[in-house]
Amino acid sequence: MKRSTGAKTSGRMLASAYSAAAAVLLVGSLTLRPDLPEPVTLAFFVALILWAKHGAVLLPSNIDVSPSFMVVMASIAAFGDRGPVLGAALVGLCCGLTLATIRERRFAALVANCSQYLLSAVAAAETYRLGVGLPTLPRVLLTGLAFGVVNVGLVLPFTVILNGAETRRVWADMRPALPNYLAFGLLGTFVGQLYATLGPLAVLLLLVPVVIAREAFGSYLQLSEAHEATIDVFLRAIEAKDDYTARHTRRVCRYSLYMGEELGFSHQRLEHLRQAALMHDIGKLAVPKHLLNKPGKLTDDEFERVQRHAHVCIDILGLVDFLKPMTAAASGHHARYDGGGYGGTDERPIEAYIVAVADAFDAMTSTRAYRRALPMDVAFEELQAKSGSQFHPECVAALVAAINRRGERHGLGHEVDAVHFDVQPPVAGVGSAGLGDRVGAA
Amino acid sequence: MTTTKRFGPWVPTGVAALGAVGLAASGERRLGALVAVALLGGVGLLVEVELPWGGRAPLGVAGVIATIVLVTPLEAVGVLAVVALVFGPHRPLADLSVVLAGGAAGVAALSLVASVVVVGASDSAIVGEVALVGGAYLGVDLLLRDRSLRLVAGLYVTLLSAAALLAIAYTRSPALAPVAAVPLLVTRYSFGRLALARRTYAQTTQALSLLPEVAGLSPLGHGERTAVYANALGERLGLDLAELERVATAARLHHIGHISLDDVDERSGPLDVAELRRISGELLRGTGFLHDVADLVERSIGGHDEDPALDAAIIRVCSTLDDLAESGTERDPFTALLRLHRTGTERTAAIALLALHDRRPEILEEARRSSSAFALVAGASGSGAGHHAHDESDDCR
Repeated sequence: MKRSTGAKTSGRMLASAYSAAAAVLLVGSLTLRPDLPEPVTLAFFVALILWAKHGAVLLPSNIDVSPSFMVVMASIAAFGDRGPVLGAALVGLCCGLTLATIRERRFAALVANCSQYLLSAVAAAETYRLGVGLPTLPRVLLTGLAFGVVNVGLVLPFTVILNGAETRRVWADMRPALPNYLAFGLLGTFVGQLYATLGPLAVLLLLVPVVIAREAFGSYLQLSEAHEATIDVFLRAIEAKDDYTARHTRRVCRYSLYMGEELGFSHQRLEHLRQAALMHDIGKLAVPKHLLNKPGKLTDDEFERVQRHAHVCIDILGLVDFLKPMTAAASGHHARYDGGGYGGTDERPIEAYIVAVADAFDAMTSTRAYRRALPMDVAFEELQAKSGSQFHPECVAALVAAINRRGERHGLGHEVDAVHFDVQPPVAGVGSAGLGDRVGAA
Repeated sequence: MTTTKRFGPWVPTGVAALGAVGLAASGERRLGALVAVALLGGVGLLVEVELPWGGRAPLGVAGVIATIVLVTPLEAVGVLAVVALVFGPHRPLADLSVVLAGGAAGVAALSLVASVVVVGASDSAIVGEVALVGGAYLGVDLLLRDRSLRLVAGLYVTLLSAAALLAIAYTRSPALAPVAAVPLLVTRYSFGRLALARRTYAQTTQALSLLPEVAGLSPLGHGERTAVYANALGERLGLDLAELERVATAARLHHIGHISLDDVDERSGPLDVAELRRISGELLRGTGFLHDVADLVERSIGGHDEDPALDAAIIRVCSTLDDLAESGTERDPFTALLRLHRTGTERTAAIALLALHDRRPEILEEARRSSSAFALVAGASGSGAGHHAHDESDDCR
């Protein structure tokens, strides 16, 4: 990172100012109000903060400031009447001690950090002490506010000067963490009061299971990521087999997400929709390549073989609990909104219909081995004509709205990733079957 | 529908609650409080945590352990009786017998020690007593349920901590006791999420393993059965949990590369091993996440000219075992394996498989059962039949 010498000097000066203020406060409170905190309590919370800062992360990692804040709040509540300000100052001082800063010899940052945590902690402790008559909630709220205001007020200029970042952007990064402050503040105070009533042993007994649970939660997060990646193997498997199906799958996925967003799905639900859309055509892997891209009509035997893909899809998806409700969508055009098609279960989630609409729309607006792409308007008309019978009306409306709002054009003349076929596909009817028609069929 | 099912635990709970109130009103305060505590224990036992490695465990065990520490041995027996009344009708007899046997072991251990040394009432004394009673209880649990300590260590530590916290809080003020529920509920939440994620992940890799199989490029259920063998063998060879997970996933997916080959009837000549290895690796590695699985799958594919690392050897040997077991030509596939692998790590793996002794038929059986759901896939794709209810395969221990 490139930093100008000017910024470095101002950073140094700022760090010196913080540490001077912190030192004055520390010496002042030692001489003016020399009520020392209980040594065991102090040692406990100092150990706790050092441990929380190094390695054992109790909380989601993106909120760096919260463990410090929580432990400071807990220590203030635990010190009670016995030297809470001095105790908080010392615990706060330790918040700034991180191994990384020491190892990288960034001593200016170390001093500045220790000082700003000390100042924030003292502000919080004073507020907590003054609010002695208040009920718990406003008292904690005010204490947290004091900590937050001092903390942000001191960190912001430092980050801006040293990293040359814009004030507004740093603030925007920090702001989402603010609501967490109240929750963590309350939790910290609760732990502190528990310490005051039950002693250090009880708090340790409380923390050990939470650390174990946190580890399990970490494995869960890791596994979820691995799972999302594994789903993508399906797409890559299709890619290895058949180019058209892979591109089709990607587009179906995109259209499905359009509809999901239009219908106001949550992030988690969108992710499940994405995974379902990626897997909707998985049975094509059981269809030989030469049949997938056969120009012209299929013989009865070939048609039978191609039809098998729908059943294979359903059975493969049926193995995965959260995809089981989606099996109807997997059979593509079989999933009729009015229940006339294959499967026929009435309690299908809307996701199944979303994928069915996306599948049909893309089947119509892309060039297949047996037929050229249709214009987008024709596809829309077809969807709207069958809305309420074959297709779920809400999904059709959502797709049309989403694509129009984005100003996208698909279909004939607008295909961006069309597959080249050796035999030029003919122009034909609107059939959205997804695979070639049978010889002799209309 | 039986009465028990219709009214849930509420009838015995109600009766016991009335008893508690009656005892308290008649001046038997302590007895009333005890019945109430036992009641809570019984209901607490109905709240279960799902374990990430399979199985479930009742969280109320913490309450039972704490109660035994807090009351006299005679009272503890009474508490266990009430617990049996509330808990019994709603869980299998096996679960109830674990609670009763564990509780009895705890009471016995505590009385035994108390008859020798005088235990104080300090916090650390309570922690010691909880460790004693909890150790006896969980020891019985471990034996009766045949669980691996490695897998349940986290759960046991959580239960013991909560029990100690409950006992300490109760001695200060009974109203503080619910504090102990906090770590238990946090554990329940994260274990539950992890268990669900593990199940989903296993199901997804199962589905993936089916891709080459439904395309007729690999025997149906081969990946799944190989994974079951690999899991048993990996456990035998002392792999840790993360390694077991990786080996099982790689075993399921070790034929994934076949997907890029077309139908069997169109394939000419033998498989190009280097090409297959490259495709499999690319397929999995492209996700940007499964690097270790991709690496293992690559290493498990190959001629038998080089000596693979142990994890790759496990997959190779287990894959061969499945080929032998399914071909039906070998009466004893395990011994036949030894004839095939005469040197190196593969022989080590084959010997370890042989050393599973009497568990061998059981493992073969489990593998067949685990992959039997896939037979339905074959049936459906052949006959065009409708939906099937699949067995839930439980190989994700």
